[in-house]
Amino acid sequence: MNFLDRDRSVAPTSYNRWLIPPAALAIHLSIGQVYAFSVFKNPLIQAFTGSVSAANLNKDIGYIFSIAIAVLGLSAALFGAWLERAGPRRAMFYAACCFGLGFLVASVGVRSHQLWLVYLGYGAIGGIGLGLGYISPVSTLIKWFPDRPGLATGLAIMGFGGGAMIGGPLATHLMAHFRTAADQTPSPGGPLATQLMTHFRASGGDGSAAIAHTMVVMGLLYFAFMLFGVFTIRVPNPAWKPEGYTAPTSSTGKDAGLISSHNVAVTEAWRTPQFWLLWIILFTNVTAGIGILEEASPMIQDFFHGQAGPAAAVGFVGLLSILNMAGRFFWASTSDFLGRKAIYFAFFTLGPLLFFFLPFSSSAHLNSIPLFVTGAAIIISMYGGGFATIPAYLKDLFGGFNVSAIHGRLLTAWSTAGIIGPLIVNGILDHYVSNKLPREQAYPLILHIMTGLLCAGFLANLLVRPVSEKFWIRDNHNLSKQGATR
Amino acid sequence: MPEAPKSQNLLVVLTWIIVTLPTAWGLSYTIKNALKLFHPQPAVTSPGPSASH
Repeated sequence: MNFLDRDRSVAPTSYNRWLIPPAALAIHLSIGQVYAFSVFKNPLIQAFTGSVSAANLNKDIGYIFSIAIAVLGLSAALFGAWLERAGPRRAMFYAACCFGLGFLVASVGVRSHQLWLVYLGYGAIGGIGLGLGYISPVSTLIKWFPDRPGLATGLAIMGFGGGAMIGGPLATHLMAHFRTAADQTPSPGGPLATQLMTHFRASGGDGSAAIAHTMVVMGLLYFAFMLFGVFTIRVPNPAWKPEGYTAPTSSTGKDAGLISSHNVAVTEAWRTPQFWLLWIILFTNVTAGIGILEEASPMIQDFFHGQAGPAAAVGFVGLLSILNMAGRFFWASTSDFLGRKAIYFAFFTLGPLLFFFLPFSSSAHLNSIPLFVTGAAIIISMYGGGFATIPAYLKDLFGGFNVSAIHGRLLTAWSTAGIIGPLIVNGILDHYVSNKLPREQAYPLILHIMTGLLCAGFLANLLVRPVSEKFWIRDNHNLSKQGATR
Repeated sequence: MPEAPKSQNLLVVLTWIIVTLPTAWGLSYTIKNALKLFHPQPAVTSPGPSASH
């Protein structure tokens, strides 16, 4: 497997850097499928009815997604430093293996009605694939695009947002296809074939066969698509730099004071206040976004009784997915011109205002669906933008040397938000429902808590200052030995 | 710095097509769904599925 070595993936100086974003996109468009896991939820509930306690079925199936996201954060944090040494090609290959294998193991779990195998497959093994895949192209992209790091990472992380748009309909179409095939396939080949087909149809009557087959096909398809990224990715030659590019100094460009011309090692980075301020920034931005995403469909229906039905709610969720993806590219690439701090300043001033006033667009007040949809769409674009701009912010503060590893550790903020966000939202909703209060009265409280969280994010962003010299890597010789190019 | 060979430009176009095609398919499917938001629907108040994060 020498092909996967970092040394074997160094590009010639004439290599076109625009070949790198598609390689990163192939990985992120694949692993972004996790956002569309909800399409499996109802079929899985049906498949596991009878083999898992009915009282906890909804929650037990929900754990699959939670495990995957938790393992994503953990593996990104654990393997980030290894990835910097091993190089992006090896990390992307392992990501493809884990993500593909996760689907296959989960399919066995579904077919044999063993939920723990689904946790192990899609949740744990697939989750490692998610973590490795998410961070593997980041530092490579930043090294290829030192002049436009926001644009480069925005492109890749946009793929993660867009992955749900492919994964959702793909799973839906495949499950429908395998259900139809199971119902209609004639059984030629004599009595043995007939008996076998009858057996499989009977045992797959709960839909488990269709889910399992879908998972196998998706695992193989995603593995192949991710391999395209593995074969295409290259690290830049140490002698290479973009034409006409001069590295920013402490006195040039936007956010000049924050753009470090030095590198900070991952082992030092997490000791700096800047790392934890960025952790708070990511955590508050993600938690607030979850406040909308978690309840998008019921929220619009409850806010606009008699005007927005389930079909409109599906459309609303679709629109948010598009804005989530577009915001990743728009805000991250804009940050190359305005500066990272200014972009988060926009998120944390516009965001709280939108969250605060969003409940007033409901039918009880202004009764304006366009106003509600526009506000929510801008919020979700900033949620996506927060994810996509953070790698470039890290690069500005800590340099490009260990940026993937530092990014990996920062993603624990996402995992934490993935637990805290739904806890806040569902906790408040459960309280209102159990006290027989109208659900729509719970939303203003949820949205106003998110307003407060975003204000905390504003303060954290305000406090970001350049990293102290005592954390800089002094030994440039050692730095080049370890494979960093700049 | 050496200029990239012309054959690489074709490769760039091909690689972008490979990632753009599935994205465009997914995007068109999502836009079709999103358009339902702008069609008047009879109201049903039961909560639907929540969005993924």
